[in-house]
Amino acid sequence: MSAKILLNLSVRGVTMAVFAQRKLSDARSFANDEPARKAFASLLAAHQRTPVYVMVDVAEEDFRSETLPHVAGRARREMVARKLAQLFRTAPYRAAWLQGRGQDRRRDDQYLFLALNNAELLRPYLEIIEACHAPLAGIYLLPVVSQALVERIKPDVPGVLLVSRQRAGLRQSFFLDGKLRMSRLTPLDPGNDQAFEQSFVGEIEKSRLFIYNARLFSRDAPLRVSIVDPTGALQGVCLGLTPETNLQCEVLGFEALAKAFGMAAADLPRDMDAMLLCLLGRHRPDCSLALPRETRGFAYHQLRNVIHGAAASVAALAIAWSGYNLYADVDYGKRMLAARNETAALRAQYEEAARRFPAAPAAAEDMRSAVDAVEAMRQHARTPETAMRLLGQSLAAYPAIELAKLEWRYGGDGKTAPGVAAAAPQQWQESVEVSAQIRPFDGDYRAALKLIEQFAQDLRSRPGIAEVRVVELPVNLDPKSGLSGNTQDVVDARAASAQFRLALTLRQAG
Amino acid sequence: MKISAPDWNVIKRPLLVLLAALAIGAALVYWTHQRAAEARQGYAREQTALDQMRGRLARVDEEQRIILRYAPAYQRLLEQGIVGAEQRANWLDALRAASQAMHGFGVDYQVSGQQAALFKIDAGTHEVQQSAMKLRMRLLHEGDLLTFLSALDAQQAGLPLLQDCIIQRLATGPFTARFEPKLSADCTVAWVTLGDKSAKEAH
Repeated sequence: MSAKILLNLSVRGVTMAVFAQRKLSDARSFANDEPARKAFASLLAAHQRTPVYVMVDVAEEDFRSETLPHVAGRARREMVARKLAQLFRTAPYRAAWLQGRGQDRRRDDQYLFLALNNAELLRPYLEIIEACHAPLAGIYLLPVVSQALVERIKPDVPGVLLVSRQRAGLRQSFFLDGKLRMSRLTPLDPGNDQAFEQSFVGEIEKSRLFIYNARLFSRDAPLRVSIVDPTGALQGVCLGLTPETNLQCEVLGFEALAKAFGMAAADLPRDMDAMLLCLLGRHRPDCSLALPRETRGFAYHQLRNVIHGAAASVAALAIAWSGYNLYADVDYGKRMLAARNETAALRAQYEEAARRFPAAPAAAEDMRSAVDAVEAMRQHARTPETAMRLLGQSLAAYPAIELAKLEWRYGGDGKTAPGVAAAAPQQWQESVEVSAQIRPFDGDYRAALKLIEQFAQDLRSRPGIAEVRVVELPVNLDPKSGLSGNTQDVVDARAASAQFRLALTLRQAG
Repeated sequence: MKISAPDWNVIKRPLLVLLAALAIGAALVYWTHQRAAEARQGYAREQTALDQMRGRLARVDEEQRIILRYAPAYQRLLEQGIVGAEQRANWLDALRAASQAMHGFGVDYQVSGQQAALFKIDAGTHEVQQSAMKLRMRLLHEGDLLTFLSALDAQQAGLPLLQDCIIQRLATGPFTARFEPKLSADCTVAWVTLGDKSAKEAH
């Protein structure tokens, strides 16, 4: 935990200390005068950039318990600000402290509004803080700080009147269910102990009456007066109080306080102001009176800590990540070496076994793949012989048909250019386009077409032929095409021929 | 919100420290990540080689059997010029011999440059290539073409795959018994070779 500078201010005196490693050190008390301010300036100079926590113990303070509707966010901030301005119009140092929720159905927010009416007391010290560029963490009223003590005492009754003798006088703070409700400081002049005790008793009785009359607490409920007495000087106060059924009184001695603080007795100061400063160092209340512009430096101080933390996190992450990477690097290196050694050993075994192999011109798999590929290509190699044989068988039955041209193709799909379609040999197909003519042709197209159809049908009936398609006829019969000619052409055509074309696809063998 | 000089002084050094931590941390992580990635890749390579070697060792008997079975056939492919560099001189010799077997009128040929095969076939590590040869011949009858192709195949001078043939009658009219070509044939033969890339890795 980083160090803190703690300052307790009252009209009469000043106590300043450094809080580090969860204990107070270098605690010094002064009268509230120029030497105190010089000492404070020296302390700040000696501990630059150390946050400063100011605790104020003055009679010019105000406490108001109020209940506000439960809202959140901006609406809450605006409502609280309005209430503060309404309650403490002239006090610059004012704050609202959320104490909890109501127990009724509305469950309203319960606030303690508090203000410091003596800003002049703070001014010289705030000027020193600003001059030294020290970050001001907050300004707290002493009773606000002492709430942490009540929480640590863990009283078994709801109402507690905490009484302590501060340098500024007699401080009495009333807590209901552990939450501060009211506090008052009575500046008593230290005289002889007996008179002082009598004054104590009288002031406590007044406070009790105020609590009852202001309806802060019921007379029927048990009230405990807890007298904080680290020096053992107030042992007789309880005896002086008027005995009542609902009144309990206890004196919290030094040992009980050390136990409540959870500290070794040697680390806990006996001075009451210093003790509460120690409490402030350990428990920062969330109710500061400081103005935003005064704590601006502390905001940057906190930002600085956040940035430092981020840098440390980045460094830790980078180191951890890099460590993992380096571990992986070493680990993979080891595994790579092991694999390499094992490969070398297996290679030696393989080479030993390979010495028994017969001499071969290439690696076994290479030879196999080459031989298999060539065999596949040879197995699927074709010539036009089959197509010629099938055509010859059909043409023998049709002497009037004379073959003019035969286009044989063998490749990817049998229709495109050979080999263009990147098909495997198993899918290669033979196709033939036959150009033929009917000769002699007497001009009888009907008979010619019939003959061509019979010829095509004959080809279709051959088992080796998969498909026969008429590509061109002697006359175009397509209804979508135009047709023109001269009847005299028919007479002339007797000397000519009726040409046609057929496209054949052969079945793949085996 | 404007930052005053004292406020800036408060956070200036931590910001520099943060930037330095980010830069150094990023560089450190990058460098070690690169090292780890290289080591990982190296390990993967070695592991692949190890797996291959394990497989090879496990198949050593199978490999011996393959060599015994395929080596003679492969040797013949080498001798025929099917595996290795193109043997165009052998093709021309075979062409001449086939032409003589046909007792015909000669064969015109034209060979184009070698290219990758236009069909799919798995030849392992071999690169399948082809050279297209255009043939033009005149025939007495269609049987001459079949005789020529059969003779060409019998020469075993490579792996010729016939891709197309266009046969057409040269002249119309009544048949005459003179020794003159009656038909013409234009054919394309793909001479296939398997690149000798793998053959260099001779066992």
